[in-house]
Amino acid sequence: MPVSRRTFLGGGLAAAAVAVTGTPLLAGCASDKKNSAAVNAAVKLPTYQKYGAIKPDLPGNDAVLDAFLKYPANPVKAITDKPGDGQPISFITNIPGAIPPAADNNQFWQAVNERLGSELQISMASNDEYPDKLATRIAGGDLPDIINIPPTTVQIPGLLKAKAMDLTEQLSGDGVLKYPFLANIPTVYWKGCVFNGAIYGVPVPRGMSRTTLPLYRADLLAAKGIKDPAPKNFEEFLALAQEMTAAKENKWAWTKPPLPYIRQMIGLPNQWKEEGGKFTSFYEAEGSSEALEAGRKMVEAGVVNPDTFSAKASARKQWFNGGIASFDIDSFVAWNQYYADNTAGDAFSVNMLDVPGFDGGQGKPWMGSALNNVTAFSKDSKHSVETLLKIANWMAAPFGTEEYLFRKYGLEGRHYTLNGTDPTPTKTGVVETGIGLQYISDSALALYWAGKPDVPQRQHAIQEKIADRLVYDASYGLYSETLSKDGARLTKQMTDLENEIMSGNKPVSDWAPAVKNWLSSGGEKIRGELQQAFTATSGK
Amino acid sequence: MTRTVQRRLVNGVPMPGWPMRIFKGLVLLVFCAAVIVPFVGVISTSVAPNKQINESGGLVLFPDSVNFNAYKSLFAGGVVTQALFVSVFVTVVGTLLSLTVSCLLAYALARPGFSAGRPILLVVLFSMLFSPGIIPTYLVVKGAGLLDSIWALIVPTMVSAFNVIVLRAFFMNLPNEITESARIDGAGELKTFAYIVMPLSKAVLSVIGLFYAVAYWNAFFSALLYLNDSKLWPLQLVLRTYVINDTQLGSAELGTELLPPQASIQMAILVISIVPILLVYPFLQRHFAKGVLTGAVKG
Repeated sequence: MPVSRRTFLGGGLAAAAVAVTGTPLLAGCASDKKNSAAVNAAVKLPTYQKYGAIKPDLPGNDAVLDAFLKYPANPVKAITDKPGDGQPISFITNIPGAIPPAADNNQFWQAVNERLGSELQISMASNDEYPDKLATRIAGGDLPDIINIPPTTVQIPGLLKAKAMDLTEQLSGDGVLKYPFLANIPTVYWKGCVFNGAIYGVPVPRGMSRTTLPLYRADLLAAKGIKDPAPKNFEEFLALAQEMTAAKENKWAWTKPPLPYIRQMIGLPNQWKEEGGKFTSFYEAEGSSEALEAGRKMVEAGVVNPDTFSAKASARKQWFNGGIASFDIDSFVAWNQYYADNTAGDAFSVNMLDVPGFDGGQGKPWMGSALNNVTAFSKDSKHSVETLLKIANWMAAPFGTEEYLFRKYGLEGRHYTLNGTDPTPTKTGVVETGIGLQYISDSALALYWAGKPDVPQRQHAIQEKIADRLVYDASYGLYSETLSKDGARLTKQMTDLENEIMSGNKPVSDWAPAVKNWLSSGGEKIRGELQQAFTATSGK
Repeated sequence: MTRTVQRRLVNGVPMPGWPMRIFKGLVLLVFCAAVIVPFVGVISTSVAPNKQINESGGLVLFPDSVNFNAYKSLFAGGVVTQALFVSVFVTVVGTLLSLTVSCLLAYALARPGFSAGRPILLVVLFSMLFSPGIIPTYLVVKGAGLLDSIWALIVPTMVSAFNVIVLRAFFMNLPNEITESARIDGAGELKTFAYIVMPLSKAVLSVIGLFYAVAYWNAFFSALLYLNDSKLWPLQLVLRTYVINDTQLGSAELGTELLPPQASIQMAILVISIVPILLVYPFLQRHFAKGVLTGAVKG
């Protein structure tokens, strides 16, 4: 294709936009007036219809996830027809792990193509580099059929309006029932896919699986005579950490200061709180300095590994796995990962702490962020919208189905072996299956760990304990242009200061002026936009 | 009675006394250790057992036992092996092409009486001062039909303005008498270039070749942007994803205890990416110093 003067200049202008605003593109489109909260609220969201063929051992509810003690025998083959149309389908995504073997050297990928009835061409990038790759592909007018759009992508409404298919006709209300596994995704997750008064994507739900609380090594605590720890306030929590610290033996209670947990103890908002139409950020909420002071106190008390401020996430995980630290703050997904990485043998046991109030009573746990990403379909795709939705539907087949077993574990013999009805991944399985299918669409996470029924039991128990007290982010589903454009920069400033305070390099008294600065350099504007969006949608 | 101490002279300078020599030795030892210990740590961690890596918090200096699981994991599935071939191809072919094109351009620019020399030199200098940016370059690559082609890793970066300037400076300083005598003997421009100028330019060719080779070997960003098929990814991009993602190799939802820990994988990656350059560098080092000086003092 020759480069015309127009394309070249267009690219140059897009590049200039990136340089000047940090915004990849489509700034013009983003100002579209149709992305008003009122218009978005008027969209009829897809009907939720729970897929009933699979019965969990421990049923969940709106917040709590279904738990399975073993993989169901004879998994249901829920989709009989191949969803593809015989033509190659392209997809761009980030991948969280290592690069898997390419399709011609990857039997799992080949089997996926066979089952889909279309060759899936996947363009991958690591998590960090994905925004650059996506922005370049968008600016180059070179988007694939299926696009993984992370929630942090700037100016999503403009991008989707310019480049993505409107799926409202196919998915709104009962329309979604034609795609039973998309209908199996609870309605709340679809709220994050509505822009410009239309449904522009399919959600990749997370929610409770991303709820983040202290994970602890139950085996290490038991060795010290501590069973089922349940501190009643911050002082007891700190005492517990002190009991698990033996600096001379290179043992520390914590991998990092558990600031989000302390904030939950104090009852700070989960990102944004709404009260009578007024929005408050957790940065400015009453008690935010107290939380920082408590976190700083923990570091000062020496219960946090002193290398924490220079360590990467993988190093912290090694401390926890190696018994150098007994506590880490992370999600239910990480809980499973710890079992995957366990080198401590059969005694290895992980559990999660509930949230007490800072001075007693009950704390307020934060619900995890709703979406991993929104999956959009390119307007320029040669495939019909039905084909692409059928692909997404296939990818959302839930735990217990034959499709799920194949999608997550691959082919029996090569990618996993069966232990009873439980699939145990082989090394080849782990390497070959990581091609990013979960970012096309996904069902809600099921609590399950092959061969260890006590793990989902413990996970289900803690979820039931905290479910009634969960605090949700009031800004979810409301669009703020400033948050989209400047959110990452503003958040980084505050996170940097948090770290400085935690490490003792700056006093807690620096927090209040920083919050003022945050408000004046964008926070106040974000609040205004969220409030405006909330007012426009309230009662709808 | 005073006793004079005769000190042995080294290069005309008296050799320092024992205390000073021990002190200097200790200082040198500290510097050597600062370089060697991390290197040993990298190699040791890459072959240490999982349990020891976890218990030590990430870095092992003396492994309890040696295993090559990290290397096996990296080479299993063929991703790293394939990427290694791509990188070698890009580095070798790219360097040869770059040297050829750059030398031809620089020689032309160095010739007196080449009327278009100055405007072309300005264009070359312009590209050094003003980068076109990611998206316009992407559009050019796309327009040239190079997307998803291994040539996208070579063609867009084939000529480096800096290297052309260094080569030009070198060629300008070759004595005119040599080229003139070749011409008198009946050699044309190409023959003079190939048989007279090139053999005289081995030092500068070595250093510019090394510059190009290292740049091609280390390049990853163009592959990230231009190549969708991961089969064509060079080693640096594949290894970078292991390091950057900073997550365990296993899938969180599935889990397995079969794969080595991330630290071990990362250290194995460092070893794999360092070895080829370590193998080549000693042979080019003497040319390297000479070539750099060539560019620095002439022009």
